[in-house]
Amino acid sequence: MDKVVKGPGNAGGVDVHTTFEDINATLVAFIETASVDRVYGTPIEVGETKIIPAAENLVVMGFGAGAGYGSTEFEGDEGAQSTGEGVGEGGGGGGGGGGRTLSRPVAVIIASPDGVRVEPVTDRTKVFMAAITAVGFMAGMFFRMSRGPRSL
Amino acid sequence: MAKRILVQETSAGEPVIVGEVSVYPVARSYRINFPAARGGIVWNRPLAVIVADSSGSRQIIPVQDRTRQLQIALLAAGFFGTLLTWLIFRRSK
Repeated sequence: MDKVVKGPGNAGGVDVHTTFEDINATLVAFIETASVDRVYGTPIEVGETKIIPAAENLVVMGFGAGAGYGSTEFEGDEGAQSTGEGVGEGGGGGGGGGGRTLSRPVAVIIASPDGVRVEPVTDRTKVFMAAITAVGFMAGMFFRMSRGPRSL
Repeated sequence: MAKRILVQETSAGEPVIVGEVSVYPVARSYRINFPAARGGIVWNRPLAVIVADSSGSRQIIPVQDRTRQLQIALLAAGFFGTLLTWLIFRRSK
């Protein structure tokens, strides 16, 4: 029979320490996303000109974990303890998390010996969706007002 | 020390050298830490580029988010257009 070691470092055979180390490593990686390196890409050289891509990014992450432990109680006479007989209550642990990264190009910086200029990148799909939303909102309100007051 | 819920940071990256000009990319990040749990939200966006030449002069060129500007302009136009239409209908009754 497999022996399951009880204690603060193990809950039902799950190594809690490793789990928390993984969580901390993920948290550190999450904090490091707030960096200028995540916004500006590696410059691309085209002759004497260097092109630097710039993007906006949004990182959302959350997680949690918990563990509980039981106790071992011995019933009967004291001799049961020496023979390893008794009633044990188990423990368990669990956790979960999730995250998402959204990124969108904003501009490109063109640096040449003639000068430096910033060229914006326009996402037409997002602009078009905003236009549809605005027009739909106006049309809906206009239609509702032109029908007049509702009778009960 | 208590963890701050909202953290704003502005940082400059390594310069990109083109001829006698150095280009410093500058970014701004906002970080929201969840107070009751591990994790949070990080929003990074480009802010500007600082152009420094060999003579010592510096020029700041802002990085404008054209998509965001257009989105806000269109949604604001929709909101105020609806408000104006509502006011006109109300006065005509």
